[in-house]
Amino acid sequence: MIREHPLQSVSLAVFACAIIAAIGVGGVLLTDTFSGTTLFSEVFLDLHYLLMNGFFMLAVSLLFVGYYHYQRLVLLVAGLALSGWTLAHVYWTLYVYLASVPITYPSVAELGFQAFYLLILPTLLYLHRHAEIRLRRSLVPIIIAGPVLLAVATIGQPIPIGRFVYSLWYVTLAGASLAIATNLLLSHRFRGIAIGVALFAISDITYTTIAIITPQLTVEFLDPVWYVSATLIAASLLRYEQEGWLR
Amino acid sequence: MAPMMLALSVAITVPLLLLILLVDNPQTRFLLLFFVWGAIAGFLASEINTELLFMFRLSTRDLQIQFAPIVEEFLKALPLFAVAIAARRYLARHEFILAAIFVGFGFSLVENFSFLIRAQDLATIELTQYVITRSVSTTIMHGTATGVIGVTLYHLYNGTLDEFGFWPLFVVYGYCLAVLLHALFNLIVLFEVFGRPVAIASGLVSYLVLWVFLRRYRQLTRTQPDLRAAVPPEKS
Repeated sequence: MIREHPLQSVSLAVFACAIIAAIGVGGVLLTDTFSGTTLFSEVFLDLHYLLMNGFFMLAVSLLFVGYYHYQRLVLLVAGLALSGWTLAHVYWTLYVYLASVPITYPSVAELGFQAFYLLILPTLLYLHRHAEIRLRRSLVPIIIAGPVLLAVATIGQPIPIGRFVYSLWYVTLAGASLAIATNLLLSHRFRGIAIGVALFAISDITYTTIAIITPQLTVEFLDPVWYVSATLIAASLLRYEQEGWLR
Repeated sequence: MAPMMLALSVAITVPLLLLILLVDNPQTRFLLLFFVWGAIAGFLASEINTELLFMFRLSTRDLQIQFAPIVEEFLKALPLFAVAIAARRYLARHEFILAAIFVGFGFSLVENFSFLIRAQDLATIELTQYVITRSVSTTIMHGTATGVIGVTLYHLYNGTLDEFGFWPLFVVYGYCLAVLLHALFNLIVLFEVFGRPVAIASGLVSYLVLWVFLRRYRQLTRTQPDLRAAVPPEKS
């Protein structure tokens, strides 16, 4: 019988807390929507961002500690991927607090957000090679679907070309990650990380589409999906290591 | 401001270049050359940033926290990319990471002087505080940011990340991370209440991290004598 390492229990506890926080945020947002109150923006907004950044930092820390303990490079690379997104979100949050206005889109923070995909893509492909999983060609439409959705949503809108090109690039990156994560899901292997990355990518595609066609740059209902996904990615990878699937 | 920046850059680079000609040790020459590039990049960045300011009608704050890090990190990293393309064997040594940090420090030297020229009206105590703050925060930040790109290239060349493939993605990641760390630092400094203490603390923590990492890399190089002694074959 394999004895469970405390790191795995901690990562599962963090994931469980993220789900509870997400349910709480969802509940408050629903209450606001149906009763017309502004409870979320007036009372919980600061706590929400604190929790979000906290969960991201915890997920990154768990992966780095995991790398230090197991000396498994995939944990480090996944940790670095998440730390790019975390730093970008910390920057994004601080900017909002400093300037008291949402940051422009795209901004320098986008470098960190896309950095997540730059490393999570090689991580997913590494898992494919490690488990000898074949990539399905039938998943190519998923990669194309994101940019097509964005292009259709922006027809007739006066969007600056730079903004549009960047969004297209970002959605393609997210779409590629979504397709490769779907491939893992269909192969019934590494499902935890696959669900985590897929949710992450869907949130990013949704956010980018909203950000480019509306002036709205804060989409609170997506925030819980991001931090639940991040903690799920960390917990899954640590579980795979514990189970010996990464050896 | 431009003639002063040019004068500063020349005043730093010319003596150092003369010094490089006198130095026998190749490693010291290598490091000094990178430092010189940092000083040149400081001048170039100042010129480009000024152009950006007028061309896109940016506010000084937007320039500092959004655009300047993108330009500055690219300029600082140019010799690192040049080495990665033209003289890859240097990437095998941990001194390459040190050289990347040297670029950042050289850059910061010119930048610090340019800020000092603008802060001539400050009293002695304020000026001393200002100089010390910049020296232990901004200088280290610049070194750390370029060091991140150096570490990425070092590991890519030494095969640490070979099992992942897609090495260009890691290079872009290194650059993105360097820009983001730089932008985050500039953003924090703008906070009036806790900007300065956080900047100093983050600078000192970064320095500690650099010190620990470089010690580790030095040990790695010592335990792998082939990396130091032999010239590794060029990778295709």
